[in-house]
Amino acid sequence: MKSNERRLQMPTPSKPSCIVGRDAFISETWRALELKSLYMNDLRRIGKTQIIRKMLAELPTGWLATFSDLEGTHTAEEFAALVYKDSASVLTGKKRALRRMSALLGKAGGSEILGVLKLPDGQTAPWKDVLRTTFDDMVEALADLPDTRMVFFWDEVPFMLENIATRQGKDTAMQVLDILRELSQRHDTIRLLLTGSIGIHHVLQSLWSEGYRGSPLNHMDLIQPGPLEPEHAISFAGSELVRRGLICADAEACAASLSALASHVPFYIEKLAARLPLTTNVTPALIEAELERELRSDNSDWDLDYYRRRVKAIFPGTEKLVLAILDTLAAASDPAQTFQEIRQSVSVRMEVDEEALREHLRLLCMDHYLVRDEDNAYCFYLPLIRRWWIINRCL
Amino acid sequence: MNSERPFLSHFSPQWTNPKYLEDILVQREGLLAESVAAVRDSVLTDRRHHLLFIGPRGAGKTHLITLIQHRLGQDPALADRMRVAWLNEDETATSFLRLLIAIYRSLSERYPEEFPASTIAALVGKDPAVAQEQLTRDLLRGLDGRIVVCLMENLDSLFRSLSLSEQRNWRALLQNHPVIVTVGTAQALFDGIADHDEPFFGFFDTRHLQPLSVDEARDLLERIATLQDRADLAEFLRTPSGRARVDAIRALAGGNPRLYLIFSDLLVNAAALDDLVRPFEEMVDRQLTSYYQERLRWLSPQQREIVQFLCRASSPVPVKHIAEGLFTTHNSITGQLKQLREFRYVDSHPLGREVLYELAEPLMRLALQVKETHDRRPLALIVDFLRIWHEQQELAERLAQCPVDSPARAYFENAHRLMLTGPNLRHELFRRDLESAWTEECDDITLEKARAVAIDGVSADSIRLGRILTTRKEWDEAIQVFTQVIEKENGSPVEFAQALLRRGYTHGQAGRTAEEIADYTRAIELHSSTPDVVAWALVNRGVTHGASGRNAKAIADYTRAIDLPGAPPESVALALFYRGITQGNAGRTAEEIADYTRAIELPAATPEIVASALFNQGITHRESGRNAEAIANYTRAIELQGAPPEQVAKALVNRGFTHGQAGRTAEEIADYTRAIDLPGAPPEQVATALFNRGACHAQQGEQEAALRDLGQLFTLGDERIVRDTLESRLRFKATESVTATFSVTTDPARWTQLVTEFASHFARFNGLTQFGEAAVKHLPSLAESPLNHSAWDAWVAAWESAQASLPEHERDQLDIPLRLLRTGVAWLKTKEDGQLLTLPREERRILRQALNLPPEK
Repeated sequence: MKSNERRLQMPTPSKPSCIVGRDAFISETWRALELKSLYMNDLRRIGKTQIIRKMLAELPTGWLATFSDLEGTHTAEEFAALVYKDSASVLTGKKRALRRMSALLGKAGGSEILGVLKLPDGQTAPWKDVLRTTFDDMVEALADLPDTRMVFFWDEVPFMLENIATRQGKDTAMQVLDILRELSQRHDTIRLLLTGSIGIHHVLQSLWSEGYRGSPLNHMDLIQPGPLEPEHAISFAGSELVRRGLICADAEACAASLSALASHVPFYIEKLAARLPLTTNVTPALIEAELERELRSDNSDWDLDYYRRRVKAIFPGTEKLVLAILDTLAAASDPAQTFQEIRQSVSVRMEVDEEALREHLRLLCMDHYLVRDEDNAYCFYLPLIRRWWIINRCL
Repeated sequence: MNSERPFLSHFSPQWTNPKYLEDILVQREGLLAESVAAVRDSVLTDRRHHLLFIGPRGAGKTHLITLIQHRLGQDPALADRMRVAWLNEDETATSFLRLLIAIYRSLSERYPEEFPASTIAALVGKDPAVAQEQLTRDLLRGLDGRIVVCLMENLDSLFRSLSLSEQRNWRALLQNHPVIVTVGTAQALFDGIADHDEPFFGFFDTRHLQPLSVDEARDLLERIATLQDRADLAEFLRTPSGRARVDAIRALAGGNPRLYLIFSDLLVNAAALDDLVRPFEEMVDRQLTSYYQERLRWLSPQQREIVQFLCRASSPVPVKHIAEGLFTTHNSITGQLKQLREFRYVDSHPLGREVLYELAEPLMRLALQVKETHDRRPLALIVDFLRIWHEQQELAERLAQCPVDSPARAYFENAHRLMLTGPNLRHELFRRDLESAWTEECDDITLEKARAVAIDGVSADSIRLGRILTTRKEWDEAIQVFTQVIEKENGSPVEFAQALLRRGYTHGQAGRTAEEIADYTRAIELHSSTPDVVAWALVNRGVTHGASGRNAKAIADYTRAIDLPGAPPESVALALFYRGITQGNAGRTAEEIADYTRAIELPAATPEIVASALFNQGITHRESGRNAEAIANYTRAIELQGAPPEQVAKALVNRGFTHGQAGRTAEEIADYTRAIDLPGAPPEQVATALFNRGACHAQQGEQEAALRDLGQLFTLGDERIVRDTLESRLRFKATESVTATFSVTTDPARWTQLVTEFASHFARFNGLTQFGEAAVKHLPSLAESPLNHSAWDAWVAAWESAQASLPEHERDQLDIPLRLLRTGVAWLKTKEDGQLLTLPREERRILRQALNLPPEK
C-alpha cells in the first residue's frame, strides 16, 4: 500500500504534452529559481496551475519538488502539517528522513499522520517550530544529495492567508507571511514558488491596515506568464475546434481567428469554442459574431463585469479617475496611449494630478487591467477586455 | 396494449431504458457526443474537463447526463479506468466533508468491494479535518488510480449550501488530487461559477441547453410516435396539417422537452389523460410552484405584477396593453420589461413596429395558475393542448366516452365548452404565426395554416391566403380565393378593393394582361378604394403598360400615382423610379434624371429604391459621357446605408468598369475585389467582377493573379451564371488562359496541370475549339520567349496530355489545334516551309496566318 500513500502527497503529474506553449516561460522560471524564490501572479484561468504542473512533471536534474493547492488550508497549523507531510513524502523515495521532526513528533510520522501534527503529549505541535524544523531537516537531507535543491510549489497562497486571517485573525496571517520570508531567505537550497490570482499587494494592503509593517515578499521576484504566444495559442485553438467536433472549411483561419479574438488566452479560447454551433460550418465571421453575442449577453459565465465591479472595490475614492483612464484607453483609436496622451484625454473629463495618474497607471498594471508596451505606452492587458469595456461603457 | 409500449418516464429519465432515451434524443446529438468525448478524455488522459449543463426544469438535463453515463458505461476502454458516482438529485451538503461522504457513499453502493461502507462508519466522532483527510485517503486508495465521474444534479443548490471556505476545500481537493471529473446540472447560471471572485469561477465547461425549435419539437413527437409503434401518428405529424398543429403547440408551450413528452402521451394513447392528470397536477404543485414562487420573490413588486399579467395573457402582448392593464406608464413598463428580459423571465417578439412580450417559460404560467386558483380548476395548458390538437367533433366523442368520475372529464368538458363558445385557439395561434411571418415565407405549413384560418370566413384571412398562393405561383387557386372575397355579399368595400388589386397582380403574374389591367382599373375607379389601393393599382398598371411598350399610358399612370393625395410615400417613390426608366426608354434623358433625383431625395424612399435610382442614374450619366457624375452616383449607392448587397455589387462592378475606361486600373481592380468579397453579392455580379478583374490582371502582366481569377470564375457554384458571363467571350478568356499559363511558369508539370484544368473547364462550357485556337495563335509568343526547343516540346506535350485527360467524345475537338501546334513548333525550330506540307491546304492556311507568314503561292 505504500505506493498509494505516496500518491496522496503528490498530485498526479500532467503529461507535458497536455500543456502547450509554456516552454520558454518555464525555462526562464527555472533559471530565475536558481537565484531566488518567486511569486507568480496573473489573471485567474490564465494557466498558472498548469504551468506548475508542467514544471513538476518535467523536473530538471538537481531539483526536488512538491505541489500543494493551499486554498483549502485554513489554519497555520494545517499549513505547517501540510509542509511537513509534503517534505516527508518527497524524501520517502530518497531514503532520507526528517530527523529533527521525527524526534519532535515521536513514533508517528510522514504520511501516516492525519490532521494537524501532535506532540507525543497530545498537544498540537507549535506551527512555527514545525515549519522551521522541517526546513532545517530538509536542508540537512539535501546536503546529502549533492547539487540538489528543493522547490515548494504552493498554489493560491493569498486564499490561504485570507482563510487564516478569517479563522485565526490577521495577526496569525502576518506571522505566516513573516515566516515565509524567513524560510525562503534562510536556506539557499530551498526555494518557494508561490502563486495567486489576487495580487499580493492587495493582501498586504489589507494587513497593513491592521498595523503590519513587513514586506515579506520583497525579496521574491514577481513573474507573470501572460497569454500564450500567438503561435501556440492558434495551435491550441485548432485542437479545441477538432476536439469539439466543429465543422470548419478553413480550419487554419478559424483557429487564428478564435485565438486572436480570445486574446490568446486558453480559457477564453475554450469558452468561445464551446459557444460555436456544432451543426453549421464555422467561419471566422461566425466566431466573431458569437463573441460579440457573448460579450453582449446577459447570460454569460465569463463574468467580464468583474473588471468593472473590481474598480469600485480596489480603488475606493479614486474610482472616477480609474474609469476615466480605462475609458480613455478603450475609446482611443490607437489602443496604446502614452502617459501624456492619457493625461491629455483624462484632463478633459477631470482635473488631473500627474503623480496620482502615474500611481494609478502602475496599480492598473499590477492588477492586470493594463500593460506597458515596448514604447512605454499603456494598453489593455487583454484586447478582449477592451472590447468588452467599450460595449459595457457604451463608448 | 399500453403495457407493451416502451416506458418513458416524464420526470425521472434515469428510470427509462437508455436505448429509448437514445431514440428520442433530438437537437443534442452533437452535444452528447462532445460531452462523452470530453469525459472519456478526462478518464484516459491527465486533462480534466468538468461539464455543467444549464437549463430550466424539464429542459432535458437528466436525460442528457443519463445518456452520458450510459455511453461511458458501454465503452470497454473505460471499464477499468472509471468509477461513477451519481449523487442524489436533492443531495444537500453544508460542508465539503458531507459532500465527500455523499460521493463515497454513492461509490460504495455501486462498488462495495472497492469502497466499503464501513469507511463512513469509521469516521463518526472524528474531528472534521481529520475525517476529511481520512476519507480522502480512503477514496484515493479505493480508486487506485482510477477516475471518478461524479454526476451531480442541481449543482446550484449544492453551491448555495456550501460556504466560501468549504468551496475552497472542495476545489483544493480537485487540484491536489485530480481524480474527480464533474458532470453537473443547474437550472440557471449561479454566482458560484459565474462570479470572478468565487473559487469555481470558470471551472466548468458550461453549456446552456436550448429550447426545442418547432422542427425539433416535431422531430421529438415523431420519434416518440415511432417508438410507441404509432406509425399513423408519425405519418400525420409529417403532413402539413400535423406540422401546423405542432407549430401551434410550440407557440403555446414553448420549447420545453418535458412538456412534449407529456403531450406525446396524450397523442399516443387516447386514454392517457386519465392516468396523466393527477401526477401532472401534483408535479406542478409540488415541484414547479415552489420553484417559480421562489423566482418571483427575487423580483420587484412591479416586475412581479408584469409577470402575473403575462401569466394571464393567452398570447404575447404589446407594452401598451401591459401598461393599460397595470394602470401605469408605457415608460415604466418598458424599463421593467428590459430587466425581465435580461433575467430571462420574458421573451420579446418584434411584430412590425411593435414588440410583443410573453413569459419565457410557459411552465411558469402553469405553476402560477395553480396558486391563483383555489378550486382545482383544470390546468389551462392541458385544456389548451386539447383545443389545439383535436377537432370539435373528436372532443365531443371523447367527452361522451369519459366516465363521470374520471379526473380527465373536467379537462374534456372545459376544452369542449371553450371550443363551442370561445375563439378557435388553433386558428388564433396560426393567425399569430402568419402575422409575424413574411409573406414570402410560403412553405406547405404556412399554406396549411392560411387555409385553415381562411375557413373562418374572414376576408383578411382569405386575402392573405390568396397572397400566399400567388407567391407559390398557384395562380388559379389564388384568383379563385380573391374572387370569393370580391363576390362576397355584404363584404367590406376596402377589402373588396384590396382583393381586386391582388387579383390584378395575380393575373399579371399568370400572364393574363387584359384581366390584370381590368382589375387594376376597377380598383382605381372604385369610390370605396383607399388612396393606397389606388396608388398601388396605378403603379402596377403603369408597369404593365410599360412592359407592353405603351410608354405614354405608363407615364400617365405613374404621374397620377405621384400626384395622388394621400398616396403612400413608398408608392410615390416607386412611381418616380419607374417613370424615370420609362422616360429613359423614350429617350428623354433629362426627365429621366429628374425623376431619379426626385426618387432619391424623397425621405420615404426605401434604400432599395434609392440605390436602384442612383445606379440607373449612374448608367445614364456614363452613357452620356459624364463619367465623373456616374462615379459619384455609384459611390453614393455603394455607401448608402441599408442598400441591398445586390445594388451595391452592381454599383461596384460598374464603377470599376468606369474607372477602367479612364485608365485607373488600380481603382478598377479594387472595386471588383470589393464586389467579389461582398457578403450577399449576387453570383452574376461576382462572375462579372471576376471576369473583368482577370482581364485587368492579365493586362497588367500579373499572370498568377489572372490565373487565380480564371480558376475562381470557372469554379463558381452556378454553372448557368458562368455560362452567361462567358457567352460570346469564350475566345477572349481562352487567349487569356493560354497566355497566363505559358507565362506563369516554365515547369512542364505545372503546364500540364494548368492546361489540363483549363481544357476540362472549357470543355464544360463548349469552348474547347476556342481554347485550341488560342494555343495555335499563341505560337509566335513561343518563338519570342527565351525558352529552348525542349521547352517548346514540353509545352506541346502538356497539350497532348491535357487532350488525353478529356473524355473520349471530346478529345477530337483538340485534334486539329494539336496538329497545328505540333507542326507550328516544328516549323519554328527549322523555319522550313516543307514542315507545313504535312498539313492539308486549309490547315496550312490557318497555321500560316497564326505564324504571320505570307499566304502560300
